[in-house]
Amino acid sequence: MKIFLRSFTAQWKLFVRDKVNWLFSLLVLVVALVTNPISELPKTTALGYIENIARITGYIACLLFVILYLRFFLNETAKGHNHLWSRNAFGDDYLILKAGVGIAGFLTLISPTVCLTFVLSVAFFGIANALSAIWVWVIILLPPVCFVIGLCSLIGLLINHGLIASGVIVIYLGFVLARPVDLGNLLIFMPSLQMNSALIGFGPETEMLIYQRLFYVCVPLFLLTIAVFITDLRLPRVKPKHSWIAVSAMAVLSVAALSLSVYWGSKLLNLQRLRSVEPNLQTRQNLESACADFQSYRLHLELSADGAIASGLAEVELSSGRDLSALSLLNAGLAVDRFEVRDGDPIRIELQYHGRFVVPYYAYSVYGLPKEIEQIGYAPGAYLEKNLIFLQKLGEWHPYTLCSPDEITLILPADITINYNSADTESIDGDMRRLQWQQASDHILLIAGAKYQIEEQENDQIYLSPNPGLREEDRNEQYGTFFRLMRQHLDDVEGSGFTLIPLPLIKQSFLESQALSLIIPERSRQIDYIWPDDMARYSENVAMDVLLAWWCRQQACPDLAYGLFSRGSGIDYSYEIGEEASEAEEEDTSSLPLLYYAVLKLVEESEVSGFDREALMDSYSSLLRNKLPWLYSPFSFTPKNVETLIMLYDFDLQYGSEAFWDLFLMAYEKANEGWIEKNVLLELIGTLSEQTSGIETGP
Amino acid sequence: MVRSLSKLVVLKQDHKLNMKRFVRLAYYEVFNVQPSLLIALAVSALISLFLTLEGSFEITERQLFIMYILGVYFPILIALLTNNGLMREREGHTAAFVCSRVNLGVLWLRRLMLGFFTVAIFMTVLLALMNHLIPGLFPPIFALTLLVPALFFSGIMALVSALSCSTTVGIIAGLFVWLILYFWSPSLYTLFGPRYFPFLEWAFFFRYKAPISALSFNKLFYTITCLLLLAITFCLHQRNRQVERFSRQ
Repeated sequence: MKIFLRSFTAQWKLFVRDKVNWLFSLLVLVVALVTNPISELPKTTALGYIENIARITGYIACLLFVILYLRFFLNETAKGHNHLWSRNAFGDDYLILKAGVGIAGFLTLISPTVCLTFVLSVAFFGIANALSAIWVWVIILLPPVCFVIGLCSLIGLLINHGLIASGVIVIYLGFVLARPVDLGNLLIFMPSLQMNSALIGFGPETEMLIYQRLFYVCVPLFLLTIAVFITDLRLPRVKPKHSWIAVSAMAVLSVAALSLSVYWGSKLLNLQRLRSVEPNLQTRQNLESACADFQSYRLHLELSADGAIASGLAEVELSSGRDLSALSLLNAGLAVDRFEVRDGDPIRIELQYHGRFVVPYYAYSVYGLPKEIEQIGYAPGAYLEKNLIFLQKLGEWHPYTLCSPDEITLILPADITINYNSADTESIDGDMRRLQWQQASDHILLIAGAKYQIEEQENDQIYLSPNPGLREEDRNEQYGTFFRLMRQHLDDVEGSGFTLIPLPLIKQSFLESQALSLIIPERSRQIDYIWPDDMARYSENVAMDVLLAWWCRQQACPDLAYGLFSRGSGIDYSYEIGEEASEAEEEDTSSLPLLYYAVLKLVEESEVSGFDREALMDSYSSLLRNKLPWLYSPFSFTPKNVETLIMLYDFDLQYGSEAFWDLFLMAYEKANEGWIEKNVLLELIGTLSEQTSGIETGP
Repeated sequence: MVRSLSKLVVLKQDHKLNMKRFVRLAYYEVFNVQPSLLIALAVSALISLFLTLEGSFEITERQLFIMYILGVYFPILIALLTNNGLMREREGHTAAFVCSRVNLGVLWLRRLMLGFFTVAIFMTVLLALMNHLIPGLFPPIFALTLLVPALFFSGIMALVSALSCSTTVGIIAGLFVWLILYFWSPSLYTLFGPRYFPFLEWAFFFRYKAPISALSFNKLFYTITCLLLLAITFCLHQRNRQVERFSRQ
């Protein structure tokens, strides 16, 4: 052992003293700093920052480190080291020594990057957050480095030529790294995570990530044990006699590593199968029509401490004999225990289920999805984990997902902190809490978890994540401002308190509990997209989100939300009316300019710097008169919509702000699923113009 | 002064190069000095031909996959394998001896050019074969244009290797540039467009759908850059500074 440690130290010194290796260290540091500039730190979180740095370091490091490690690994196999190979001890420990020094050397080389980012994290996010982010370094970076070292050791031994081995490994790793990023793919040793949240960490990806990392800890161990077996064949050493004990121990280790790799790999693939389900659009459509036949729909749900559904029971009373067996949209992670149909009048159906709720990939993917999928919003409608539990009224946590339950009973451990609930009754029985809803009207039923901090501001309650950064404060301030202004104009309420709750995963805001609570997306692809470059446009997006939450508070209008926030590719902002559609076939989307003009008024009133409503409207007028070829707008419209927008502007100029908000309220009354027809809007404008000016304006 | 003059005298000892000698030299440099290059070419050819003949792919997929290999990975592989053409002399402690027979710049250039001549022949044969199997699969000019990115990465590696007197540093630098260019390729394409995109042959068939008209400017730009890189490297070797520096280490 003593000799091994001395050899280890000597080899590590050799590795560290090689100046070439420090070039790698410098490159990693430069890439880390360039891709994550210090100026952007206030706008991110400790978790997001460290994850980004660790991932980029991993990408660059894994490929470049191959060259350094192989050079180091095969150093003594070149000519001129015969005296070393004449000693058995050197050959015996060679592989373990090199692999160990490889890991220690890698850690030494990235230590400047780790130290600098740690110091920056402490400075920007506080010591507690910086310390808690250390595990991110370990979990993201260590398994791929172990894998690279294991692979290089095996291939290096087999090929025994630094350059060719480097070429083979770099090409393999390059291919793997360039593949479409997917956590569930066993080849991907350096995953890119799409989800990082201050409230739920890597959220739905956490379990996948842990399996993936464990798989990539076991695979290198297996590769190294295979390498040990071929050491005698490939190294220029005096062949020693191995004891049976040593050979057996190595064989057992090898089998154990292989078994564990298969075990974690299969767990990962099983989870991936559940996670990669796509929404069943046909069943959704059928279920929507079936909901009308429900006489009653009752749910009884029991949650365990870790957020799993210990037992769920759905009871339906049906007026018609419709077959509901194929209409269940229960989450892929939940298993049906019993499905029973009792004939009679009405027909009674009972469906019992249990399991762990798995959030499907499409529900939180940051990449553009087809319109049909984007339109359904956050379809799972729940997140059930020990860090955070939330339930929306409609969601895949109950079988007839799109049907509004008449009665919900939820039982969960009493020690789970409840942050928000819209239950009608609440009681505690022993160590369990019972919540009940009768004809729940709110979208959000429950938010529970210990991670929220609550900040009281005069009458308002603001929920914050554990490490609120500057960005979160700015976001909450923006939402708060527009919420107040909106209430002032549309609900005629001034100065009353409200609750603002950011919630991970959801895609749009909800206005709840008689419009006193605004539940907003913690991170929104649609809204955060342009942050932080343009405050005026960011404000427009936030104001639109708040206004949309008000507009859609009593009726679901996903189509309208999609029309406003269709940012799949990041380039195409428009409401996707088929380009080839003739004017007659074109959908009437007059709600879009109406909502947008209201947004412009709110943003102007909130005095956002850099925003000029008049100049913007002049630009739209020029666009309409073909004097401008193109205009950047967060919500680009059809020419008809621009026409409506200009008309609303003229109306506002002529009759004033109060008349406009009256028009807005009247339009809301006339809207159907969020949409209002242009004719109706014109009629309202005519009526209001007459009322305000007292002059006949039309036939 | 006297020392350097005497060195020049030694370097001026030139032999007459007839065709027979040239062929023997080329054979030696290609088959004996760079066998790994031939292995890499054979493997690339096998993969490309497999993709050409595999029945399950659409023609567009076939074009995309083959250009992904020949346009993105092939250049870095060739650069990796041709980089040690001269540096192996240093690592084998034979540079001083070689220097007494031939100018190091000339030796480096000869090995590089022979390597690329081999690659050019390979590429021409491979593309001709692929176009014979599936007519019109790729424009024949690709046999030449595909050499440019390979030469570009070779140029970077060779220059950094010559400056640092280390093969590894050169490889790291070349690989690093390739990594940056490849992994940030969407941003690079958006920022600079197809005219400066290093993997243009791939971009024709990838989602960028680069216009073929950009090919001539792009290749001209990269060829000039390559020539510049190679010229600087040649000058560094030509002055035989390497030998003095090698001997100091």
